[in-house]
Amino acid sequence: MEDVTALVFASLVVLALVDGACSGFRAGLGRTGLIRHAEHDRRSTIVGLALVTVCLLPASFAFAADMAFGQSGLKVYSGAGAAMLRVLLPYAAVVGLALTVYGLLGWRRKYLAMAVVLGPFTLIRAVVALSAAAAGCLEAGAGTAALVILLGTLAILIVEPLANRRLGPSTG
Amino acid sequence: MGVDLNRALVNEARRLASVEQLDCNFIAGDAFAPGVAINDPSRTIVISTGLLHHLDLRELVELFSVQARLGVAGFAHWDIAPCVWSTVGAWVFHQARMREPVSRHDGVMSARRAHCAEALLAAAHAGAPEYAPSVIEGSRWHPRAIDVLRPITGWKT
Repeated sequence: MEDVTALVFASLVVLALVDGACSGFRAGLGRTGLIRHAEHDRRSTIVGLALVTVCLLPASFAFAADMAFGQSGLKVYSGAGAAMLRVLLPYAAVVGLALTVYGLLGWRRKYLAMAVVLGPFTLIRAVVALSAAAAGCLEAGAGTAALVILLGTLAILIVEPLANRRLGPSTG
Repeated sequence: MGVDLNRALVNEARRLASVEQLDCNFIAGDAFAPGVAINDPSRTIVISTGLLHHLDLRELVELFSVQARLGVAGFAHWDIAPCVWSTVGAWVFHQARMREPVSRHDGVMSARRAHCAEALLAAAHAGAPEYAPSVIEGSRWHPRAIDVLRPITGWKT
């Protein structure tokens, strides 16, 4: 049971960090006009990673406080996390495959991955995050665990707007 | 040699080229008076990307006519292949990636107002009759995510 709980938590943390890094990457795209923009992309990705880490602090503190003083218990969080992963993992698997294509293969397949998967899946990202939050809250019931889930989801969703502000004026 | 009507964009292109130490030049000029950027027409190919859908049919003929009068060796103008897939793709892409409402709107409008191959070929024949134009594109009912932009090319015969 403890192994499963650790796996659920680790999966959620990894997904959150990867999503934050991707949010930073997206926020940096198209801002330099340079042909060689790998360094700018790397910097944008790090900005996203740093922002999601900071934004997740309130959820982390609320979780720690609940563990120390509350009544939810790890079992509630584990069940809620598993419910969230049932929504998030299929989405993450498809996006992960498309990102692999985007990162490793030639420009034709990179373009195809962008047009067929990454574009549409960017559009539905917020819906998927909110659906996962709803699934987690339903599983956890009313209480601090639901608050932690909502704080975590809010953190995920505000990373890209914050990264857009951090990385400079809009260029269209 | 890169040409654009907007001097601010030309200046920015020069700055970026300088940053990357690229061996190229940029100049402000009009697509309907491209002589400003051409020293030797017989060794010049006029290339554009995403320009043609901004022109109506009369202006298209004039564009090809101007290049024919200059006597350039050839032209290759890339633009959106109009079909349901490019319109849907433009909507998804611009909704997902563009930060400004005007960009999200204009990106889709560009796909919708793009000229079909027949219109481009008719304009090229009318404006530049001494050139052999061609448009290579697939069926408009078949999704061609990689070939959203296709050129009309023409060579002096």
